[in-house]
Amino acid sequence: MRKPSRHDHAGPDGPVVRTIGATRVYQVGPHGVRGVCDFDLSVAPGEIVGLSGRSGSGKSTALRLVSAIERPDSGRVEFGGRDVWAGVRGSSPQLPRTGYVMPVFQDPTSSLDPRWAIYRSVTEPMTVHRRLARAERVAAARTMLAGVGLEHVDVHALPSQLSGGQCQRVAIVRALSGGPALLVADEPTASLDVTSAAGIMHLLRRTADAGTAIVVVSHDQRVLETLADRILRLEDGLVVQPDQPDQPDRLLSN
Amino acid sequence: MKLRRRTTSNREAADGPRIDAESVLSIRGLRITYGNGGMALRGVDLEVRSGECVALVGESGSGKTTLARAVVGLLPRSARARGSVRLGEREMLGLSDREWRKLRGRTVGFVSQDPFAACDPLRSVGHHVEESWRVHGDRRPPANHLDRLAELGIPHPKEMLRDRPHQWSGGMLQRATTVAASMYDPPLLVADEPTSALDAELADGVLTSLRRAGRSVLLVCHDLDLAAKHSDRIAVMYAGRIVEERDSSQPGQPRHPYSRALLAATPSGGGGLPRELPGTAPGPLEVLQGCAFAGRCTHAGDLCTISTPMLVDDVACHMEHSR
Repeated sequence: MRKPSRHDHAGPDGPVVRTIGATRVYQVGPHGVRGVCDFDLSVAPGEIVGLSGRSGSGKSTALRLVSAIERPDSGRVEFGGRDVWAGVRGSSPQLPRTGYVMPVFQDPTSSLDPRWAIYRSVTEPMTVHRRLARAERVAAARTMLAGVGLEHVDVHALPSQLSGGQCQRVAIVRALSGGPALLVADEPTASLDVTSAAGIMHLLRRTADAGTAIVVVSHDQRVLETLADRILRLEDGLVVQPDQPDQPDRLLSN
Repeated sequence: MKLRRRTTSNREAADGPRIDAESVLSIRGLRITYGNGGMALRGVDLEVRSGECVALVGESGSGKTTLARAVVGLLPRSARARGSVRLGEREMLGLSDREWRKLRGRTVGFVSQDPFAACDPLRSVGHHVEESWRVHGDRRPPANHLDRLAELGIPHPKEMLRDRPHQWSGGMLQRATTVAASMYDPPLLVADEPTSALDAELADGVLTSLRRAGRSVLLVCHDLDLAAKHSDRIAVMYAGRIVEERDSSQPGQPRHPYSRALLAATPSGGGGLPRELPGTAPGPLEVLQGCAFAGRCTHAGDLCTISTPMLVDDVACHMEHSR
């Protein structure tokens, strides 16, 4: 697993990703428009920034801008201080390097190929630019999976043989295998049990402590409050002042 | 929500089981085995009284959904059930599909987990809502469905109902299926994770409406906070059994070590990361000896690996019983 080096960023403390007035708006059905307006965000290495908001508030669009999947209508998106869309005509941004930003999806069982043994999924990003023998891939997968508490899991197992929480760990390991500077996670715990979700939150925190910047989207304010260093709340495509919601009624607490 | 109850002169009174004022749902010794030999439920006793909302909580694979589906007669054909499920005074286990179709919607309503799977993508949303009374041979809705949709926060329901399911968000579609399931104001409403696709703010509203519409509710929910807020009683499930029952308003820590671990794993907002629960729950194919939780339990003693604790005094734990 490659650790993000300081050359990946503008400087040791420069932001991994910065958006300045990024705007992307589009029409959804006959009932309205969706998107984000004037989205400003800066994430430093090792920082976890949470995006919260109702469905339709623009969280996902904001995340797509941050991960350079979507091109903004106006405004800038900078990776390590460089505008990724400068001088680009098509839809492929100029990344500082391949694997600079990696995604983690909501549903781990559908983000892994159901026909692939998990060692193949985990090591796939490593094989984009170089050929690896099967034995090497298996060994690499074992090492990486052991790092996230999956040492007992058979690397030849299929995703369907794993629990949801285990699959999400595999998906995170796959995202980390290229040593990304930025991890974007869209509702990474929403489809998991509380016990598995707690494990995933620990894993994301450890990943950030190792220097990776993380942007995480969640509709669950409690998840963000425990996990994120900062929370931006979106409403109708605009960042509103992060409000302090009432503490939810706690179950069975003393 | 204003509920317009039908007069009892219709077929509901003739066909449906008589609902006892005390107990709406009574489950005794329910064991369910799937075709592959997996034991989804390993002996469950549960009571839902009139006007009560009981929440089933637990990890996935604990049998919550199987229990909910057994109550509404939607188990797969390969499933074999033993024990007893009584709605009012009528035994529901072993009813034919035909008999179930008459009862579903009138005596027990069902809101499923995935609203998109519940709706035909080629039909309008309105068609699905209408189906809730058409299936019983009624030409007109038993209550004003448009009002009810509007109350659950669907603007311009008349126009919106012409849309296909994919044009709606999962949250909105779930609210439409909730309205459809409670059209006849059934004595019991069974809801399987009805809010997992909704925002927290909307989830509150939907559960409140669900409760008022369904009178008694059996709610499957993995969110402990939401379950506590909207239910009168919580039943914690683990590996096909209920390990603890308690009143939602009861103060203090839960008694079963698994319930405590679930609570510790719930993010509280501030106050550090939630505590991890290492290991996984035993699967349905595993033959269990002793307490199913013993392998992950920090308090387990010798007895725990030998004999299975029964649900006595609302908790199934040897360590609690010997205290």
